[in-house]
Amino acid sequence: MHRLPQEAVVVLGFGLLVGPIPATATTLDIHAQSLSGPGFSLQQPSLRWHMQSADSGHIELSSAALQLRQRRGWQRARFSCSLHTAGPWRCEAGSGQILSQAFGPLSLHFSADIAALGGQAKTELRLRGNGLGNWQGSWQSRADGVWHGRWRGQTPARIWLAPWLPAHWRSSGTLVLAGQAQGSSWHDLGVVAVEGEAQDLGWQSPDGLKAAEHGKARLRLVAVHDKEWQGSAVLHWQQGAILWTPWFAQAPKEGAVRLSSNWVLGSRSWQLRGGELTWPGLGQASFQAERVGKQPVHWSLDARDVQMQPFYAHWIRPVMTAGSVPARLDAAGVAQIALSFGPGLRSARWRWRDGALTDPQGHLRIDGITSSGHWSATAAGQARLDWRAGSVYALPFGALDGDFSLGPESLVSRSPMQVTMLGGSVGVRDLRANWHGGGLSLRMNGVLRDLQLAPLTRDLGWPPFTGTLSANLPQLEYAGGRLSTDGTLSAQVFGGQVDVQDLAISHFLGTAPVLTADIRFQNLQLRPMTDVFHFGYINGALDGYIHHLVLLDWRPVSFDARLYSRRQPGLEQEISATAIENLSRLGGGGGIGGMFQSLYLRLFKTFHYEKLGLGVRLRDGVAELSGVGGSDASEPSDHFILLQGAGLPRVNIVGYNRRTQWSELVSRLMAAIRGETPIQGGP
Amino acid sequence: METRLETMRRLVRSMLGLAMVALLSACVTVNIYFPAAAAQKLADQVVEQVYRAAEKGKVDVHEKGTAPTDASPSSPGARGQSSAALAPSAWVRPRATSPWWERSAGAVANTVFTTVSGTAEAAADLNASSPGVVAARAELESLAAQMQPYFVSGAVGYTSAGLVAVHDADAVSLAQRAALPSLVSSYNRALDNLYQQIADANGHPEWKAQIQETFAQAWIRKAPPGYWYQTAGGSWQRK
Repeated sequence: MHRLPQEAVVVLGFGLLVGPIPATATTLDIHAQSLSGPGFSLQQPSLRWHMQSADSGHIELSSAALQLRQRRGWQRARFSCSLHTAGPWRCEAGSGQILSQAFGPLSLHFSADIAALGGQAKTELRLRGNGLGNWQGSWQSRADGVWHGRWRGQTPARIWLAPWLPAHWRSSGTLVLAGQAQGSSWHDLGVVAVEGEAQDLGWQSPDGLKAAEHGKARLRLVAVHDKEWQGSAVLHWQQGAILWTPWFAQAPKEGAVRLSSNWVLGSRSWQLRGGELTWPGLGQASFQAERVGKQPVHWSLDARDVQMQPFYAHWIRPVMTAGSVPARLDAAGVAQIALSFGPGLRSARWRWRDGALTDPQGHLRIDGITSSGHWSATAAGQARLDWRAGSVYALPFGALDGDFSLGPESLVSRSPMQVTMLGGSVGVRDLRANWHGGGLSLRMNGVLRDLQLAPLTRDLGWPPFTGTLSANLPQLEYAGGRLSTDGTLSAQVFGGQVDVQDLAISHFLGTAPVLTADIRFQNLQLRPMTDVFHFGYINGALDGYIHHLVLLDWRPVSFDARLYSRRQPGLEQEISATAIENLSRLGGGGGIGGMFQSLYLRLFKTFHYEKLGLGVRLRDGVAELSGVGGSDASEPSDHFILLQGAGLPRVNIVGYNRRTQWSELVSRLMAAIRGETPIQGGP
Repeated sequence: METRLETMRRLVRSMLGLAMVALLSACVTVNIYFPAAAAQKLADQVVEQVYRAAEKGKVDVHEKGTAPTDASPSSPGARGQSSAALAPSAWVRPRATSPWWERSAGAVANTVFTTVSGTAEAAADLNASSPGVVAARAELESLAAQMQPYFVSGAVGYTSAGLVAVHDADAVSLAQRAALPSLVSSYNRALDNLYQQIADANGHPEWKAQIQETFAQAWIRKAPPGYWYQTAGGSWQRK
């Protein structure tokens, strides 16, 4: 045993008892109320030295409570060994027990060589505890007080994780540790080096939303004490998975995740310096962190060669609202990302190249993305966003060149932008986005220039229209998944004009988008229209409207529509026999069936008409039809007139059933437009 | 004396008259009652469709673009006509299939019945085919497909309030658990939106709580075996 340090203090009583001394044995009992020295304190220590002969005996040490450095929680310590004092002192067959608050009851086996009091000492230790596992080690001390220790052991991970985890968390696994330590005096710890491996490591919060399982990792830690502790640490995460809701990470198959850093631990602060993170398949990053007192942790990360596909899937997508469009996008490309936190995100800087965003449902795709910029929570920032091409709902669009100013919770375009689309262009001015409390809202002024309707109707699967669409959108707004305008979209179609007002799309890019609008038609020329639709020849002009139009998933579910002929001076109102037959087929009657009617129609190629009109009121899949008189009371209630002929020969088309299935009506219309045999319906 | 009696008679007559006026005034109060039976039928249909969509993992928006027949709204012009009465051809003159007296009697009976039970009929239907409701259902079914493994495993269950809650996160893998809180939150938003949309579509936003309560029972009643649900007391039970 080492001699007691000179500065050790024995407090309160000191008793020396020399018990009954037989002829061949002497017992020395020393009791104290307390004994303290640098780095330790003993309560009610006692020493019993039973001297069996001149050079051998048995020694017992005990203490009711023991404090090492600042650590309490050691109680009922009792150590004993056979002491041989012939030559260098040796303590053999030593054993001991101690009750640890953290580790439970521990048992200790040891042997020690002691050159002499005040000289060299050497101890071999084996430690076993129910909760502590098995440990063995050695401790050597030179005459000048410098000591060196080694140990190796295996222990349940929960013992070491418990102090770090919140109450009621479960943990499992095994830690295999080997280490060395060195000090300049017995109560001084100068250098520590530890190599450890965690096997089948796991932990879990009571609600199960923060957990790890099947973890395998290696840690190498070197610590040097010089005024404050500092050193380095390297961690290799090889297997297992970690869940920190909403994030989930699995050890990559390509190789271990490597995390290394230098560190400094002061009395009131700690720092990580020169940290490096290498994540196979994801990228690399350098990082640093600092905490002073009880202030929030400040940390920064500078990631390079980040693969956006796994980065977006594992780190960005989980924070998006489930079911939203961003939560189902796939990203591609490579990025450099620099972030600083403390508390919350304080700044971000990025450069993204060769990027792409793809919606697996096919509603959105953007290719050739390049973006860079910087954002700050406290100062102005800026950003650039370019892309090469993309598509929304199968409608292709062209390149974008965007330049933006960034505020802490806003984005404003710095110059007008233009994207080619459908043979024309979409211009955007004064784009302003705001995000506050997780919600995103967006406002802009838009201009549609000469968008070709033919590819639009083809790509959306609508009846084919030709013409161009141009519009000024003084206010285009997107908030809460709803896209709305307060301007009028005007399309030049078939020599006339179509105005769309109060256009709004709810659940935009969602599962079931709902479009609402009011549409007005003016002066549509029937001849070019019927030429395009192969419907048969009709000459004349149409006015009309579709009020309260509602499209669900781009298919109509309700509207009030009416199209009616508009007499123009110098414009003959004519209709061909084919068109009459197609109009009659729209009702499902199978065309002109009667022999007399057929003959009559074949005799004349065209007929003049006075009025042409069709009204459709769609509700719940049922279309209520009306004719030239509209749905008002002026038209007889038991029938309606679709075509009112003029002059001779004269043809009228009269309908008798005002209600028909909308799907049936659409099928017939499409068949008539394509010039196909209409679908026969009904019983 | 006679004058006094006359005065008393007048007073009594006036009182009776006032009482009658008060009674008649009370009679014109219109109460709109929540159509519990229609709501339950509608809830059962919607719940069945959502469970079916979750099982198939597929949403077909226009499959439910038409409301269930019994719960479909009837426009004033269409009231009394079922979809079976729709003509295959709008242009063909319909032929009478029954004698004129029978049709006349039917029309009279229909008119009388409609007049007498007009209020009851209005309350017996619930609109579930408005674009808002259909979109809300599509959104819910889309999420239900994602929620399916969590219901089957017991990780989540229906609460007695017609929403969902985490029952046992341990029942699914760590990878599945990552999305659980966000999914539960989104699913509850979609459920809440559905209840509100149905109430709004029927012109009674204040019915939302009753619709939610009706759906709460349907979710549990129609749940497949093995699903977990929370009782009114807060304890969890397995179907």
